[in-house]
Amino acid sequence: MRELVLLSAVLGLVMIYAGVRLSEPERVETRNLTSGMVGSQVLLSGRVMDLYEHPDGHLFLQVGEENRTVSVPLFSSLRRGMRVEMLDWVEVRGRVKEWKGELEVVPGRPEDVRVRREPPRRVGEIGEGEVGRLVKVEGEVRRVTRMGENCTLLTLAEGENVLKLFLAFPARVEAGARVTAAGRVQLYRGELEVVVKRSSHLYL
Amino acid sequence: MELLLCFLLGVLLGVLAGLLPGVHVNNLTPWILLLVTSLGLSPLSGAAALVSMAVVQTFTSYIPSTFLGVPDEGTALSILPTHRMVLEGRGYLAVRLTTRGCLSGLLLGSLLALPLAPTFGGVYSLLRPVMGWILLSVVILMVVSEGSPRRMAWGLLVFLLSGLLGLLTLDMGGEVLMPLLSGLFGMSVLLESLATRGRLPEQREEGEEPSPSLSPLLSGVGAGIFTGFLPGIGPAEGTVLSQLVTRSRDTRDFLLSVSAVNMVKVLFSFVALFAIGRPRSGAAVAVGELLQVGGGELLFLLGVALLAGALSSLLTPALGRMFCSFLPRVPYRALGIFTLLLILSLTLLLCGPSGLPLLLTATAIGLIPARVGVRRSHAMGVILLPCTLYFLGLRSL
Repeated sequence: MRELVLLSAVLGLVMIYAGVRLSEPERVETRNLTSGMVGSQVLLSGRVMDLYEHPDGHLFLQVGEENRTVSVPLFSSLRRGMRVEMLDWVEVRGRVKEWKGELEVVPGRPEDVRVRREPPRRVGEIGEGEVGRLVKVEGEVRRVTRMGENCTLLTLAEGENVLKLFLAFPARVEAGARVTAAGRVQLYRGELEVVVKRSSHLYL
Repeated sequence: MELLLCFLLGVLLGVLAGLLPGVHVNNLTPWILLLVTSLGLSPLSGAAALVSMAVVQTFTSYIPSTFLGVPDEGTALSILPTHRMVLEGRGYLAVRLTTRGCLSGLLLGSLLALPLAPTFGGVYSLLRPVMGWILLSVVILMVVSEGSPRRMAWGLLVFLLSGLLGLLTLDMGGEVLMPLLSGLFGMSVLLESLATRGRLPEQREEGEEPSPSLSPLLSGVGAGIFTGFLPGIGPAEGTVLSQLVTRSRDTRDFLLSVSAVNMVKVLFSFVALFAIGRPRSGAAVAVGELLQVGGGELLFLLGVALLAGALSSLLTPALGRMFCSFLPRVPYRALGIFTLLLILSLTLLLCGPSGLPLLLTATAIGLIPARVGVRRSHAMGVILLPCTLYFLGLRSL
């Protein structure tokens, strides 16, 4: 009996080790993803460079780096309350597929997506050196200026520091609210502002 | 580290599910899934917890079934021989035999799973259409193997009565299997023993080394594989099949075989995820939710099962020894009445008041085999008859 127990334990440990090694999907970076990988399981990690929330609850992420991103669809059945914000770091285990000529990585279960929240930066931390970069910033709305029907300009303030957020979509935000938003930094008439493209990039 | 902790959690829950009658792996599975999702644990760690829990529960469930006579679907047929061994002071040997059967079944099953798994898809689609006829043949063989026409008639009557009870009640929903199996295999055995016993004899701990019989193990593993990936067929049907193959009446062979069938059925419910892409148990459904089982994942699951089996082989005899030293100090009548009350309470808890008539009817049918001298396994008609009719297309599941 002792021999059987020993054999079972040793065999079990060897099989666990081999199983873990074999079941690990290939870890890839967005720039290394090729159409030859369609159908295979991969482990993709990177930052959320863009995201779009469909009215039906699906979330479409662009994961990667500045110049190269890969689409990761999180369908509503899979999200189960999962919250993903711009610039969060995500690790996605999924199958590589091709959709309208573009490669995408499609996770099959909620457990296939791991999210590490990127904390927002303070208003005073955004300087001219950030121009052209994607940032996530948090602050209190001091002033709301409507720019026609579809755009809004928010002035965020924190002590002496001020930063403008240009929202390229209709938004209902009141002065005094605390917001977090992600967008690209630009200089407009000598003033720094963050251009927020979509409502899903603004977190009230 | 995360993997190790999850594995140990599974072992702990498996011991609890095995030792506490009425607590089943399926009741604990949602909690493991909740833990995995809420803590963001890796799917492999969650699967390790589920597999180790299912394996350890299978090993340890033979302790209450042996010493208290409370059965579940996997241990129902072992109740009579193990209880008889307890009454002879050989309860510890019974636990060691079932442990050996489980471990040997696990080892053989794991080694066979790797080369055989890719072929199961074809075998499954080949067998499924004729499954009803296979089961019908098993029933006929069971009855005919009684020998004399009188015993055959009684065997058939027990089969039909318990089958009718199953047909009338299995669709009721809830945990009706618990009072049915407890009545047919637990209460009836206990009532007979209570009438004749005053105190349990001293349980001999040293015991003899369980015989390494290969034939009951091999037939048990074969039957376990067979039942593991076919839907609706339980370990009891597998054991009946295995018995018919070996035709052995030896108690040791029987216990080795029944525990091997039970263990291999649990193992192959996970292998079926890889082989045919379908789960065959509550824990396997949960593993399927966590993992897409490919070759690597299958190897991992088998490895976890083997490690959990090795640990259980050390834990189960140790726990059995504790029961052995405790039981003879308790008056048998008091222990029997405690077990009867436990079965009654579990029936009320799991099924409500409607479970009591089921339990009483099942007990009445369970008393017949010993009175007329036929095998108690005919009472497995409670599951076998509805299953056979389902596969013959005469009943919906």
